[in-house]
Amino acid sequence: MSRADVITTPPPPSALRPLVLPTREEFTAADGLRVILVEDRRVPFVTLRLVVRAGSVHDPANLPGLAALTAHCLTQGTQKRKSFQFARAVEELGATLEAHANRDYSAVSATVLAENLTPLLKLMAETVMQPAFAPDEVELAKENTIQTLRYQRTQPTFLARERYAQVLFGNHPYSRIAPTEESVNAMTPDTLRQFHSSNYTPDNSLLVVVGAVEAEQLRKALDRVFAGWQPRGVTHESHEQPPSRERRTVHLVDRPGSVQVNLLIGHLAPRPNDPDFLALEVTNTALGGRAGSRLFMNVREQKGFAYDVGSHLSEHREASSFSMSAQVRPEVVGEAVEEMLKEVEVLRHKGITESELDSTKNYLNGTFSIRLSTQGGIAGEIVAIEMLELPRDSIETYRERVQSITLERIRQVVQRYLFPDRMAIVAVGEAERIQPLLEPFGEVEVRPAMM
Amino acid sequence: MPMAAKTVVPFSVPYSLHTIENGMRVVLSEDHSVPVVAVVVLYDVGARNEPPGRTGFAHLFEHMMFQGSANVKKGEFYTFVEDNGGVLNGMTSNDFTIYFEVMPSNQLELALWLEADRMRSLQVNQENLDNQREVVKEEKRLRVDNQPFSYARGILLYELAYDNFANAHSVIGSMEDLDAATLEDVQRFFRTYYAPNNAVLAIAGDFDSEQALEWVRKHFGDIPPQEPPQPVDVSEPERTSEKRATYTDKLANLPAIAMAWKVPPRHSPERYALALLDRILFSGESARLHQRLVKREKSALGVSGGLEDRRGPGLFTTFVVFKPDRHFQQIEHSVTAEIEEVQQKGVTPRELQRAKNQLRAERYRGVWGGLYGLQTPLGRAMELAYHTLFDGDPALINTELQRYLEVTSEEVQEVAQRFLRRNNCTVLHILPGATGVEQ
Repeated sequence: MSRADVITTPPPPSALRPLVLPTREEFTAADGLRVILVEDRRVPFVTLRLVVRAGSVHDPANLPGLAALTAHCLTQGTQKRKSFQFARAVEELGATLEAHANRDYSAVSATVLAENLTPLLKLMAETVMQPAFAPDEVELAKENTIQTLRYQRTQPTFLARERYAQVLFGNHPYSRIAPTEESVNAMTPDTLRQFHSSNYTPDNSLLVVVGAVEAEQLRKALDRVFAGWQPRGVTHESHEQPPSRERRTVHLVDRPGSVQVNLLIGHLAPRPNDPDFLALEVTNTALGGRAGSRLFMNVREQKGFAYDVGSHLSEHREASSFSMSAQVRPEVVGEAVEEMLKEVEVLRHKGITESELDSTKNYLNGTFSIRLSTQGGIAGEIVAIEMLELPRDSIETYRERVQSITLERIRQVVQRYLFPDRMAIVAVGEAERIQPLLEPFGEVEVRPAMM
Repeated sequence: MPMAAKTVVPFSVPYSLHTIENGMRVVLSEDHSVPVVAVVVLYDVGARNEPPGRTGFAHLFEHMMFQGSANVKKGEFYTFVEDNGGVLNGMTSNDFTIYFEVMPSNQLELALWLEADRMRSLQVNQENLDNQREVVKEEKRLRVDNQPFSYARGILLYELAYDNFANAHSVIGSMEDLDAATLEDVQRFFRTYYAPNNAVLAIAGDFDSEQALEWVRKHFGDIPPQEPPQPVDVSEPERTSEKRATYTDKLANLPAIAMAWKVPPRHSPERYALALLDRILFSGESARLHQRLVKREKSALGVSGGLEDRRGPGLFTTFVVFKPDRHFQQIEHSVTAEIEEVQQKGVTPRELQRAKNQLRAERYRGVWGGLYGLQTPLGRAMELAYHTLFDGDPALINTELQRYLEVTSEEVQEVAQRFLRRNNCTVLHILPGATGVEQ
C-alpha cells in the first residue's frame, strides 16, 4: 500500500473478537425473593437493583405520585435508624443507595465496594422491609415534592413531556408524569405504609446483582438479611387502553420568555415485547436514534435549526410511544416541524436503504456490547427483560435477531406503525410568536405553562 | 461499624506511555474482558486560550472537527463510527478539548485513521462554519438561555469569582464574538492548536499494544509538529475582600444562592484535602450541608457544589435552591456557619473515613453518572489522557488514590481555614423573576 493509499483509504476491520455474554445465575433467597446474579470481577465493586412492580402506573387514580413518594421515603429512615443514621451507614461503606419510582416499577439501586457488600445488603433489606415513614420525614418530603413540582413548571422539557403524556395516553395512568399538589397534600404516613405493605413483597420483586461476588456467599447473606419477608400474592388492576388517534393535533404550552420551542411529535407504538418492536427500533435508529441519522443530518447538520434533534421509541410495559424531539428557535418552528414530518413521510414512501439497514444493525449490535461493558449496563438489560416481559433469552439472541431483520420487515412496520398525519405535536414556547407558524399542521390548542 | 478498609482488593490500571516521532504522546491500556476499545484524543486547548473578542472559539472549533477532512466528507465522521458499531462525541472545557470514539475492538484502526485524518487535514468552508454557528447558538439557547439558573450558576458566578479573563469567561462564549469569526481565524486556530505535539492520544480496552502502536505510527507519524503555542497566563490575584452581586432570573420561580471561593490548581498539595472537604460537605445525604439545610432547617430543596479543580486556579462552590418563604441572609448564614464549624473544630475521623471510602468507590462508579468510571474503557482512556496532559504522569491513575487516603483531619481543617474564608468569597443572590411566580 502506498503512503497515499494509507491516507485516503479507511482501514478494514480486523478479525471480530467474541463477546462473552454475562452468565446469569438465578436462585431464590430467604422466603421467596428471586435473585439474578452476574459475577463480574473486573473491578472490586458491586452494582445492585432491587426492583418492585410498584410504579406510577400502580398509583391509585386519585393519588398520582404515591409510588414516587413511597420510594423516596424508603431511604428516609427505618425502624432501626433515623434518616441521618441510615444515610451515614450507607455512605460509610463507600456505597450509594437510592430508591425511585418510574412508570412500571420502583427500584432500590445501590453500588458498593465489594469488600462492604454484606453490610450494604443488610441496609438494603432494612429499607425495603422496615421503612419508618416517620411523620416528620413524610411531611418534609411532601413539602419538597410540592416545591419541586412548582420548580419543574419553569422547565420547558418537563412541560413538554407532561403535555405529551396527557395527549397520548388519555385515561391510562401513563398520562401522568408527576403528582399534583392536591394528591401530595392528601398523602399521609399511613397511605405510604399501605402502598408499601401491599406492593413491596418478595413475590412482587426481583434482585439483580452484578459484580465481584460469589453466588454462595451472596445467597447466605441474602437468606439472613431478607429472612421473614413474606410473599402476599400481589394482584394488579388492568387499565383502560390509551386512545387511538385519527388525526394530527397541535398542543401549545404557552411559556412567556421562552427563547426556544421545545417540540415533541409522535404517537403510540407497540409494546417492547411485541414481535414488531425490534424492527421498529431499527427504523427509529435510522430515522433519529443516532448522530448519523436522517433527522440529525437534515435538521441539524444541513439546516442548523437545532442543536439536539432525534427520535425515540420508549420502552414501557403497557404502551410505548414513538417520539421525535427538537429544541429550535421560534422563527423556524414551522420549517422544523415540516422537515421532521417529511422525514417520516419519506420513510413511508421509500423505506430505508440496504446500506442504512446494514449500518444500523452494526450500530445496534456495537452499542449493545458497549452497554454490556459496565455493571450498570448489564443490570439494566436484565431488569428490562423482567419488567418489560421480554423473552428470557433476549440478551443471548439480541444480535441474531437484529441481524435477521430485512428491508421487507422494515417496510411492514413503517406502514403499520408510523403515521405523520395522526401525530400529536406538542410545542412549549411563546404562544403569540409560534401559534401562527403551527396552525398549518392541525387544530391548535393553547394552555398556559403555569397552572 | 465498617471503618478503615479491611481487605482491599488490589486494583490497578495497566498502561504504557510512548512518544512518537512528531512529539505526540500515546498512552495504551489493555483490558480484554469486553471486545470494545476506546480512543481518546485530548488537545491542549480550551476556553482559557481565547483572548477577549474571540470567546466561544474553542467550542465552535470542536463542532468544526465533525465537518469534514481530506478523506472524510461532512457527516461521514459520524457514519464511519456509528455504521461500524461505535459511539463518539467531543467536549470542550476551559482547560481542554477532547474527542472520543468507543468502537467494537476490531475497528480500532478505523478510529485511528479517522482521528489522524482530521488532525492532518481538517477542511473548513464558509457554509459549514455558518451552519455550525447556528447549531452552537441553538446549543446556547438550549443549555443556558432557556433554563432557570443556568446563566447565573454556570456563567455569571465564574465571571464574578475569577479576576483573570482566561479563567473567567464561559466556554460557550459570546454570540457576537462567534459572529465575528472568519474562516481564516478558524484555519489559524487549527494550525496553532491541533498539532500532534499539542495532543495526547489514549487507547484503552481490547487490543494488542504492539499492533496499536504500529497503527498509531502508520496514521499519525508523519503529521508535522507545529511550533508550541504560547503558554497562557492563568494566574489569579489573591482575593482580599468579599464580592457580592444580585441577579434576577426571569425563568426561575424559586430563589437561589451561589457562592465560590478561589482554590489552588489541580496538582497542588492542598487539592487532596479540598477534595475530602468536598465529600464531607456535599457528598450524599449524610453530608453536612444537606443535613443542615435540607433536613434540619428544612429550608433548601437541594444543595450542590464542591471542588471544581482546573489546571490553573480552581473554585470551591456552593449552590442552594431554597424555599420562597426563606431569606438570603438565613441561607448564607447556615452555609457559613457550617464552614466555620469545620474551620474551628475540624472534621471527625468517622466522616473523614466516610469521605475516603466514597472517593475509593467513585473510581469505579465515576462521578458523573457512571459514564467515566474506571470500569469502562472510555473512563480509563480519559483518566490516562488527563493525567498525561495535565500532570505529565499517567501513573497517577493508580498512585493518586494514596494521596487522598493519607489526608488528615487537621489538613482538612487547614484548607477550610485558608481558602473558605469570607474575604476569598464571591456571593451571588439569584432572585426569582418568572412571571406567574407564586409567593
